[in-house]
Amino acid sequence: MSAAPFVDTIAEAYRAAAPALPGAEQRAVAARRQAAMEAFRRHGLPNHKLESWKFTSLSGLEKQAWSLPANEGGIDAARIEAAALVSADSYRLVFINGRLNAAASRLNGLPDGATLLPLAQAGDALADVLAGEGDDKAAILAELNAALASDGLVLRLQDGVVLDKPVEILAFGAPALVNLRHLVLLGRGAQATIVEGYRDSGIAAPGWTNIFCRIGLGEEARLTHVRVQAENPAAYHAALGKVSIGAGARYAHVSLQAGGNVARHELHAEFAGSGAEADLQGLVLARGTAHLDHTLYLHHAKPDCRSNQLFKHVVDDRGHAVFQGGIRVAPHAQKTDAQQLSRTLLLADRAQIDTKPELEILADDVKCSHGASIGDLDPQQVFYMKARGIGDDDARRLLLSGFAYEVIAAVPEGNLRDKVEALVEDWLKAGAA
Amino acid sequence: MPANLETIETVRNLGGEYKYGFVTDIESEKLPKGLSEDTIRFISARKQEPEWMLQWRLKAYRAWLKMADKGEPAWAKVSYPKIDFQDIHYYAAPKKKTLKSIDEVDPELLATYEKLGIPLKEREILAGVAVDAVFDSVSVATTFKDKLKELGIIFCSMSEAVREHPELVQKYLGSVVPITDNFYATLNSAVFSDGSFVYVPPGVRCPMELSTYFRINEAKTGQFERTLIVVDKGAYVSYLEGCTAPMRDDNQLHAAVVELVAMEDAEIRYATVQNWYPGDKEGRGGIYNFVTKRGACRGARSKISWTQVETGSAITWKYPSVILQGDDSVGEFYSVAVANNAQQADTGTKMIHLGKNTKSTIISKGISAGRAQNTYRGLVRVMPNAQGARNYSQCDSLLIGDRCGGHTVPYIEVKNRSAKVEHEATTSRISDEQLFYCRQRGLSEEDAVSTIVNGFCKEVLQKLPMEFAVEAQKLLGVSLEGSVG
Repeated sequence: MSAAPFVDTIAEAYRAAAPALPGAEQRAVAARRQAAMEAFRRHGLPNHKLESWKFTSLSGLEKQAWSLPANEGGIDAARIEAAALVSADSYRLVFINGRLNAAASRLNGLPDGATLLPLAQAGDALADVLAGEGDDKAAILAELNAALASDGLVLRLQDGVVLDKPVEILAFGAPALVNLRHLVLLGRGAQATIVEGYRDSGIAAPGWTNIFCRIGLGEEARLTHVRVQAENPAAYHAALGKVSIGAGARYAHVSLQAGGNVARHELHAEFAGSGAEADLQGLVLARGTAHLDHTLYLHHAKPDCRSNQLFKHVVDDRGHAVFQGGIRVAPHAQKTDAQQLSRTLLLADRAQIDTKPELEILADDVKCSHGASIGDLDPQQVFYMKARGIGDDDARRLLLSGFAYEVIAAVPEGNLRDKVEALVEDWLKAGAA
Repeated sequence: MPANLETIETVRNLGGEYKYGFVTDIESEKLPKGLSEDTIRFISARKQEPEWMLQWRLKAYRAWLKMADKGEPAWAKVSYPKIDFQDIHYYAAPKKKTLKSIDEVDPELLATYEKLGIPLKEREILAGVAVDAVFDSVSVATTFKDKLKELGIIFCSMSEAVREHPELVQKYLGSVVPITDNFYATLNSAVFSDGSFVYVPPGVRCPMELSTYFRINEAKTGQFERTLIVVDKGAYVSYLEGCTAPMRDDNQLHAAVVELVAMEDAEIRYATVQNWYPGDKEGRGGIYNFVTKRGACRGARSKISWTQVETGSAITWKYPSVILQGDDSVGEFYSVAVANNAQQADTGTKMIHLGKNTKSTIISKGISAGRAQNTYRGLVRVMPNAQGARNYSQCDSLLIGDRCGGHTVPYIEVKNRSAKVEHEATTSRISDEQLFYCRQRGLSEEDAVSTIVNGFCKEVLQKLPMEFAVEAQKLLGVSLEGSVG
């Protein structure tokens, strides 16, 4: 098997790193990590033979030997501030080389009933945090993550706790395999905002960031979850998120993908109670040879839930965007309202998009729809602006801004939205130059 | 027009339970069950085929054996007990074969046609429809041949075409659906029994709708129809295919292949009404329908249009596709798929845009009732050289009852910036308001559902030739009987 040397190098890296990984001294944790590594060795990387990986290949990863990052690593403070998406008024966890950088992080001043920790300090809870996703090749990167997770975020809010400030995770890529694992559990009526930023560390060598994130929302809880992936053009990024949404709870997610060589953000959300809502939005900016993938599965397991998905793609050069959006409505999940829209602008001859919306509906009293549109900017709109004295480049950029803004508008107002908007504008300007 | 009245009369007889549940008792010649090279040699010899045809079949059989090792395709959203391919008759033919005139046709066979509503005796008044009636696997009667011959149009059975027009068959057979295309197409290539062959020469507009009624009659007989339609430069043909099958308790396998070739400026319209036995309410019996249908728009400005009304079969696995090679070529797919009781349908289309300024339209209406599962699975692919390609897709699902499922799986792959691709899909049910409105005006619940469903499918039904449209509307009503209340 051609994949054998690759999984072996990973297994070797695991053996070397295992004694220093968090929880190595706990027998249950060590056994769990070992089992997860075995599962990954057995399956290897997911490939196009799996329906959910049909359009995205990670085979580039097999062309190089991977090691885990060295423990120590620093990034200059100005760079951290520049990359931060939320102003000083936030809780912040900065991860460099897959480890918390305590000096740059801010974890103090939490309200009562709130726990916010780096994964490495989760102690006895670690075995739970590393719990598996089952022996499934399509989700095997979650097992790889469980074996190698070096750090991450653990946030727990007890019933009714409202977090006063957003929590920001700021992770910088390393020229190595970085595994972060996050756990967010909100009790009944609890509220929080989380911002995940995966940013360029300034090191151009290819890195591989592998994220797993589990989110559980209790009844009536509210979570706003913004995710920005803007790593360097050589980076590999794979993230898998599992979200469970309790009765009457609301989950709002905005994902921006604007960097990386191959990046995939896969999100599985399930309604665990009725009357809940999910609003998932995404903006993909692909340039160069970037391959950016959003894969979503939304499971309407309970009646009377509402979901909305809006994903927009701007693809330039030889970029390749992938959108897979599955909606499943379980039998008896009546009164479901599920809407999905995917829109794409292809700006260059070699740009491409693969999209696969998927509706699986087993209840009859539902309102479900999805739409997809693909095309270049409308020449009539460009003409309209040119007729009013706006140059071709400016006209196109304005139209692109407008196209992108619909998603940006889903980011909570204020300093965070401004930062995200600036990031998008910079990307658009870089194309015009 | 008397023909219309007749069609209406025929359709009226469709009411109530499935009416075609009868078996015509005609002596038939049948090969023992099982599949081997000998089976294929026998079929080929029976049909007096030339050596190249036999070799072609054997090549397909050998390819199929390799595929069979890997198992049947399992990606479709259908489930059924494993098919034992050795437990099937691969050849059956009515015994009496060389017929000089209609009078020689077995009277019992004629009676069957009467029940099916194919009035061979009054064929001239049948609204200009020439019928190449396939009874089990051998074509026994072809009508209007002379008239077509005058125009240079060839319309005959595939076996006849293999003997009479080998140069055309050799050139085009397998050119759209290669023999190793997929599991069932490959099986078909090895054992195909018969089907229709149409060739329309350059510049000829076929003056009548060509039609074949398929009928599976012999118990436990696999039907492996093979149809090839070649329309030369600037020519036009409209082809109708309609199916009914007798009621019985054993699952029957049907794996047909239909190939269409349209040259420059040619147009092919292919309409299907499929009403095979869907099995009883518990899903026993019923036809397994695994069909490969594909058209190639080879020349510039050519057009292929598929219209289908799928109400029958226990399992439908069917994706009529168009390969848009010629610049400015057009592909269309209009479909209504109805699944009731325990039926499972996984159907859709593929539009592959290769040429410049190619256009495709997909309108799919899926209706599920009872415990049925109905899936639309489609692909729109725009290749890098397909400048200015345009696609519009619309897939709507209607659910009747809370135990059925309606699924939509469109794949959209675009590799050209100048392409414009739009897709919409909705899923809904018949609202109480709609039902109430109809009931208030004196319609029974079933009539109301039938009316609403016909409205839902209108865009597709309008695309059917008139003879079919009437029948199709009734069929929708019949298929959904017992689904409400």
